[in-house]
Amino acid sequence: MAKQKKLRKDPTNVPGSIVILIGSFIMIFPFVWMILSAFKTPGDVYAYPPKWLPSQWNLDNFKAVFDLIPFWTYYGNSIFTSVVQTFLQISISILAAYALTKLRFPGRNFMYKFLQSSMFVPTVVTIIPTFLIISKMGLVNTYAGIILPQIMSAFTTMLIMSFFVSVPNELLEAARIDGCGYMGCLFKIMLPSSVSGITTAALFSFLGHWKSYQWPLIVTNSTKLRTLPIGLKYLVQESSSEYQVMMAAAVLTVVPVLIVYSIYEKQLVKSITLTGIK
Amino acid sequence: MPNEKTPTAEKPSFMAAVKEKYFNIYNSKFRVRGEKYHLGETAVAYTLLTPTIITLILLFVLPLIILLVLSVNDFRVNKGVLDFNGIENFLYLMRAEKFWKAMRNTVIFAVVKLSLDVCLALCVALLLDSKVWCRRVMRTIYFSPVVVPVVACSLIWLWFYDPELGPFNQILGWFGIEPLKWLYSSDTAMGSIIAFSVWHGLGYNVVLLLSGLQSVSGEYLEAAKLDGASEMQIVWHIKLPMLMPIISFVISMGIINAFKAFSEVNVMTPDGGPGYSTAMVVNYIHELAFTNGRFGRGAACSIILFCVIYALTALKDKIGGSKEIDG
Amino acid sequence: MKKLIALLLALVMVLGLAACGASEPEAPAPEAPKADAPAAPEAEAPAAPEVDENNPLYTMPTENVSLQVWYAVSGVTGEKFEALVKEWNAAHPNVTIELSYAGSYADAAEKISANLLTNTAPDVALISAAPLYTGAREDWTIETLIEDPAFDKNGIYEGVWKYAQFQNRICALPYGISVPVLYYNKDIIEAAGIDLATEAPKSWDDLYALAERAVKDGGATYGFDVNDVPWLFKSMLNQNGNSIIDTSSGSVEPVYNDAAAVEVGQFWQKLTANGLMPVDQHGNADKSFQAGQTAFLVSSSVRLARWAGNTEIADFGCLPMPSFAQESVALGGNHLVCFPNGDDAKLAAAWDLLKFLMGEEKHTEFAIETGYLPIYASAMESDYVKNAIAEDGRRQTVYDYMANSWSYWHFDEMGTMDSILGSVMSEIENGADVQEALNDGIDQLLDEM
Repeated sequence: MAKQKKLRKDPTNVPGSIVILIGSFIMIFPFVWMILSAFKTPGDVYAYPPKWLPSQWNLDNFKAVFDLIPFWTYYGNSIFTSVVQTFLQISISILAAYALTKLRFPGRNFMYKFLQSSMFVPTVVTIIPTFLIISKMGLVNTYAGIILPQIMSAFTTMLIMSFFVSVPNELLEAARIDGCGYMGCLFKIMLPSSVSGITTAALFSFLGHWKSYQWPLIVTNSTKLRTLPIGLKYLVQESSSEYQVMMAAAVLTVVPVLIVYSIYEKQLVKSITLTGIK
Repeated sequence: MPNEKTPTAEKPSFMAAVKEKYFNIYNSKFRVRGEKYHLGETAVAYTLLTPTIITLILLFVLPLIILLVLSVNDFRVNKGVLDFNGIENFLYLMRAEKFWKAMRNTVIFAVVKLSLDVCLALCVALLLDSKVWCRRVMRTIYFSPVVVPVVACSLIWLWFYDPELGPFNQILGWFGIEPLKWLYSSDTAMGSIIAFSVWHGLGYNVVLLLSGLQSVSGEYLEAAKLDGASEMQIVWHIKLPMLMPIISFVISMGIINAFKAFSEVNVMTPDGGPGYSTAMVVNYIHELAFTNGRFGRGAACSIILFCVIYALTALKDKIGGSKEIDG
Repeated sequence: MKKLIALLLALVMVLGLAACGASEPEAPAPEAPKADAPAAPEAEAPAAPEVDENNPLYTMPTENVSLQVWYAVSGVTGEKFEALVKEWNAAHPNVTIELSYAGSYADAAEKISANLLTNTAPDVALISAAPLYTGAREDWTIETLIEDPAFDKNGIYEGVWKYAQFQNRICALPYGISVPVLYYNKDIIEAAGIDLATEAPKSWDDLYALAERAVKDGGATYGFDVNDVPWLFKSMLNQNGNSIIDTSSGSVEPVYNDAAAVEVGQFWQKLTANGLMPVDQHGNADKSFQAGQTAFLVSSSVRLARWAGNTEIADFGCLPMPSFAQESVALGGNHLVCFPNGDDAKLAAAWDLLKFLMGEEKHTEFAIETGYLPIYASAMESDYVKNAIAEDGRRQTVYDYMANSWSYWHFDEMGTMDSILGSVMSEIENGADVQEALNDGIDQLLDEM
């Protein structure tokens, strides 16, 4: 009896599959609509009832996007600032995490709590004073101004600390006896044994920076410094709310992201799971 | 994995190791409150912590100080001078209709969005955990909106919601339903924002819940099946209880994130929607500070927001959504 | 953990109070550099500034300067403005110009005020409500600059200058000037059997009757719609003898709740109550009209140029604005302005650019191509404008609006007032008591002031 059940275990859940399939259509529908609409003519857009397929496939809307905005500059800015922010954030966090988990010094507990308490103050709360500070530093409308306020994340530091804690102390002690310095231990032992964890943290942090909106919106003024989300927001007005042009811009934004995502999906999902449960 | 990283737990062995083995390398030592420390180690530690300390002061302590100063001053952008006015900014907020609307909107957003989000994500996760067609592909699809910036998705949904030119009303028409005004009516605007938000964020929760489900031990399920438990019973008595920590995490984070929501409203209804029915607290702060140029009022509202988020976070820790590493 | 946070908060508060005592250095003080600004405000201000024809600011500098130029206009207008700035730049290679689109008027306003605070404002900007960023900050630079003998100040309509004032003093250059215009959908009007040659709407009641017929017989979804609610509402108030704000006492007092205002509000309510106008949906008004669903639309005059060549949208015409007691339309649009930051060479270059853009020929060219209104009285007589009218007769209708145009002072809470009026009108559309809604609107504005 038991054996039989085991053999028949997990038949394909057909009704469930159908529900999931319908759901996935809903999830993916906006993207399908986006791609179809990017090729529509203004006539298609203003037709009533709405047309789902373009009457003819042309690339005019994409041309219009490139005429209206320096699209690749926005893309470049987004990638550049996200990469730098992620790099700095991870570096700062690694150094701090190492000190806080593996070194003994007076004030360690205080530093730890100082760090932890900063998690209670999300950036949306401090955005006004941060703007004043950044402008005092003369960094409004500069890359540094976009990057600087986002290079510190207590969350990332805590996350990396949790990876570091699981590195056995014996390993470090052995290395110390072999004459390895504190920094040597960090680079030769801590980092290699937490590579996957750090990658995870980096991916998660990159995703956050890539999507960040409010701060770049406030701190950038000139066209050449805007990141992708900001450029798209302005495009709504710049294109006079011409839907088909907005769709072409959305395609240019979304499709590369979805391609990269489908390649790294596994790692990304892992990072979400890890960071979420932490 | 909360407990194993408690720093205090490993102190004895670490201390002992330090005392025994590094005595000869770093012999300069000092005492603080009876505890012995190594000078070299301390120096290295603080050097490593310097960037963190500087950024924390610059991005956490200093902003909080300025925030408090601003909140008790009338600071107008076009005047640029501090003018002490006590708690007038807070009183203004208490009087301002928009403040209460923004608060109410945020609470509605949080409650409705989360209930929908959790229910849907739970269903999807449970289904994806069972044997369905192309599970990997399905998970990829459900998660895909999460990686796309909110603004890009908003552009698409702006069109969906167009009362005349959008496909949503057309679809409703097929079912003989009266067209809705979506973002253009105070009755439906918030619902539209929520629907968009659920679509955009669903995948994140699905992935979290799915990972929780997959960690439910197979033996349990096997045993339950042997006992003749129905699928529903298994879900109800085994899977859901096992998922509770993750669900409560999802809920508490969701509430806190709702209080941080800004971009979808800023893109879809830049002026706060019809009758100010979509503006969230952060949108209101943005409006006070950057549109009206009243940094003092904006700061006061930020402080209120901070208190709310702090209370929610504390509550979350108390309920135990996620165990904090506590020293 | 919790103790620590409490401690930290206490610390922050103490520090905060300490900082409060010595607060000035903490907060940026943008007032400071204004002292070095060339046109020292208070010194030569009142009413008529002394005319110094040799003011060095009136001469284009020869050294290398760089200018930041922001503009808050898009589409055809944005392109034309960009082209004109580049044309000037080609003639002045010693100037490096960085042009940036600054979003909608509201977006740009946010940017300008935040950046004035932090001294990162652009040198030249094309924005709306510019007097709020100059006069309101007691920056009267423009007042001196327009005395430049090379600038034809008197050629511009008197009424248009009013639109660039703050407390009775000019502090911006009126550039893209527009009025709300009544558009109609030709197909719907034809289908409804309306002959506009004989029954053009004179009063709002006429329009109401026509809108009703357009829905009944013309197949229109909406008989009437408006894109910018406060703009039309203010025009209607003034038509009915309400001045919106009372400035006779020297300060600004809102008065939009008298019997005349209530009458306008009730008319407005009648439009939505009977389904002739959509409730709350005005952000989408232009689109519905383009899609051929609206019979009559009030929208900015710039739509004429934007829509004129587009064959894919509904065919449309223009009519004179209906009125209550007297004919009147409120001026709207944008201003050119410069923000001095202490560098005379920059300011002089900025002024040279402004002079170029504001010159009669260039401005008229800009106006004709973008749908804004010519602001030089003499330009209306030029062949250029006459040809444009011959090409598209609808222009004449729109230009005739200028005869009844009207404007009021800019004041600090002007934007707030518009947003309050917007929400008041939304309440009225949703069936609120008109008098109560208007009173409420007055109270809200007074609280802001």
